[in-house]
Amino acid sequence: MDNLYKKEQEIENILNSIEGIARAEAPPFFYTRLQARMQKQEESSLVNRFLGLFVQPVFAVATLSLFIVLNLATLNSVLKEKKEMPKSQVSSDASLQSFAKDYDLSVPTLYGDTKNN
Amino acid sequence: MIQQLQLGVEQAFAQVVEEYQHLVYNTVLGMLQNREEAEDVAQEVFIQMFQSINQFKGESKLSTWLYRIAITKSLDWQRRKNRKKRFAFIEGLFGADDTVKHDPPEFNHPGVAMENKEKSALLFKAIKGLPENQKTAFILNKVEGLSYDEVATVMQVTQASVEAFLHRAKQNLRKELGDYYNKNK
Repeated sequence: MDNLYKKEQEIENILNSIEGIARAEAPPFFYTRLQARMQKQEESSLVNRFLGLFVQPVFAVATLSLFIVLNLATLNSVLKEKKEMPKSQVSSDASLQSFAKDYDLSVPTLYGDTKNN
Repeated sequence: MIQQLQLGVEQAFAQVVEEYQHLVYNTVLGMLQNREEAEDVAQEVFIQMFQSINQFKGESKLSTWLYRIAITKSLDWQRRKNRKKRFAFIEGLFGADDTVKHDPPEFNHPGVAMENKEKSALLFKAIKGLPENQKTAFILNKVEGLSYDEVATVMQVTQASVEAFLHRAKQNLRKELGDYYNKNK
């Protein structure tokens, strides 16, 4: 019985141990540190916003369109160049063949011999 | 001052932080029982206030609104910490991390009188195990010294609910402290 009373008394003392507790004060320079943290957050959010532009669908579509347009323009200019090429250049195959004949650069083959026979 | 805050006047923000920093810090410290974490979360409270000041309609006092943010942020922090602890435990089982992480063994609130330090450390340890609503009501009433009515306004419940939370909190604390007494007598 005495033990139970002692236990109840101890529990009551523990429960009352924070009676009249004083308010804990924030650490010194709290506002300065808060300001620094907010500034850091603002800077990183600016960087994220800038990087975020590149993953926007609009940006992806625009890049793809630019790629396609550049390819088409290159292809177009190549085709145009070929069309405008002088005839002498077009018949370069014939001149090459005559050059090979003049200098006897043709490759002799067994089949060629059989044909002559 | 609220209007100036809503206009983004830095001076007004500095003034609010100066005026309410101890209120916020003490509430968060009571909830988390860790000085470094309490400072981090108290900073988060003011950042949240700064970002959402336009949602403040002035229906309640600024201090009530700050208490609400402080309680919400503390509970979120505690939940995140508990999740991390569970994850670390599972990692430990599979040998991914064999370092044992402990919380500080006991918490001494700086506002407690020297002769009560030992007993209050036991009480704070028991408070840690209370359910969220009981813990919130207990900290606001006993550590921050708010009346039942003020606690009810902060927690957005009736005064009767606050009385019930506090009654159950004391019952749970008595049980926890009784078990401790039986083990250590």
